[in-house]
Amino acid sequence: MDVDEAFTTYVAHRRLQLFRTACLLCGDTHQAEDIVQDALARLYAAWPRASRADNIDAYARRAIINSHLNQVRRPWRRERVAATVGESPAAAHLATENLQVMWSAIRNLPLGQRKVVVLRHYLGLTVEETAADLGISAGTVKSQTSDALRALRRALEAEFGTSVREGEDA
Amino acid sequence: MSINDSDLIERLQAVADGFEMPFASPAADALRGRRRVRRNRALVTGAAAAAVAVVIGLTTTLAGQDRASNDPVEQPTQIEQSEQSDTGIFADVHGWLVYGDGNGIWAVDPGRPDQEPKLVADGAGQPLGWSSDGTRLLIARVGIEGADEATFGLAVLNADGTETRVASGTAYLGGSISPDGSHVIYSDPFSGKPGIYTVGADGGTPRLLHKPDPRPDPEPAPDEEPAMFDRETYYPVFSPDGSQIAYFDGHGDWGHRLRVMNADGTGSRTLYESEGHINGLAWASDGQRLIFGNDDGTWRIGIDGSGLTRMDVPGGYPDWSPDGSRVLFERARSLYLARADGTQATEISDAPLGWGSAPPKLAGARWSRGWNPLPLEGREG
Repeated sequence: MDVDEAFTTYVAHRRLQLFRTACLLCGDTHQAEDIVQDALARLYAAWPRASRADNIDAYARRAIINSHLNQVRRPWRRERVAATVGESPAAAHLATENLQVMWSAIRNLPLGQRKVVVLRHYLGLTVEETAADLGISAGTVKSQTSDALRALRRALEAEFGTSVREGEDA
Repeated sequence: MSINDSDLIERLQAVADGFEMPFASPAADALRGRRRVRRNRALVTGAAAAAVAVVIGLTTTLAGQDRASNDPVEQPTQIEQSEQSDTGIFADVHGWLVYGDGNGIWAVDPGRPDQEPKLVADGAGQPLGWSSDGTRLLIARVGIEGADEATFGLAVLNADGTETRVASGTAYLGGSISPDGSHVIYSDPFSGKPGIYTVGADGGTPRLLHKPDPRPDPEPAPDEEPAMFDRETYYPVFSPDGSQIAYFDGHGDWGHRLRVMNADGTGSRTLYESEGHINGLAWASDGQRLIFGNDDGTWRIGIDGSGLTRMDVPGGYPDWSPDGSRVLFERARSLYLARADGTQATEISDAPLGWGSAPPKLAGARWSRGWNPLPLEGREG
């Protein structure tokens, strides 16, 4: 299988998940598409090396994270958290108010916490894998995950007045 | 109701599942990847070439050779700027290229295309041209309002950062700002209002400047006199001294006429008739030649209609650099810069040109006429 064939096969299987990961990270579907395009171009350029490393998913995830970071660093594309859920173009796709509130809470997380919670709980990575992807310590991953989940609980509690119970998983 | 970690994670998954990905072809991703590889290689090669060029340049200078005289491409001469104005928000982009990619209008140093571009203006837009003192930039604007609707218009971006809307339309508007920055000409070929209009650069009521003569139906019904149709007008653009306007008129697939007229709308004459589609029209900075694209390639022609020459430029929507040594062109929705003979093409923009997220049926022009007219500062362009 040549590079193009292997790459397009991989992209066909993984692009949607990468796109949704980028959406959760940046909060904007158009910017997410830019991030994915950039990340996949990087992945293609590094395909011989990435495929030899036998963990293309990890390389793709890091490419997404780095592309997102590049966008955040550009002053003209700096993220602006919407004041209300309705200002987020992506929120319109969410079926229930419940999910819209959750989405708003995710967007309001500090970037570090958002990255950790997306990798840990959307992509299902272990603490160690998350630490490796983000280049931070396992302890930082744990503390940021804990802080993020606590912030999400508080946001939902403030919106719906629910009784919130902390879980064990952090 | 209580919310534990499992509930939160379930909701996170549900939020993510709510994002619908726009159609994207893996083959297009591979294409972008190949371009990235080529660009990376070019950067490495370019760095090596730059080192060699320094040595060669030094040797050439010492030998007193005139390299320009050996250039196989005849080049127009650059018009010198007489005085410098306060270019405000454009002060950092003298001699730079500007282009629109759907997220904003960006400026990039043509000598350093690998560097981060600077944002000139937010939002979807296309640069159409500068006033000669570099204080005003005419841009085409679009507001996407769904799958089928959008608002189109022209705006003048001023050096103080303000933006003045000067025209609105139902489709993409092509236009040009006068070199003195006082007024704008434009055409709205799909509105049912044929002709070239003029309006003040500070706004006002548009006035019809020129309406082409109607043309007979090229496919008339048998045994009937051909009906007469209005010609649409495209790409009206001021000459560098503002005394003339070049434009195309015609209709869609049926061919077009390249015309030049006086700036007051009189004295229109045909330079060339082009079959099929046309894409882009620009003046050389000496005002003596035009460059345009059609289905058969990129062409240059004298304003007296002489010297029609096919240029070896692998793309469309061409524009000359101010000194005529290079050509800016569009290919596969990317912006490229090459020598005027088509060699040494370098990709300038990463993001696709055009209206960005616009649905395909609303996608309009994706050309760029964004070469800032002021000289590059601190080094040769």
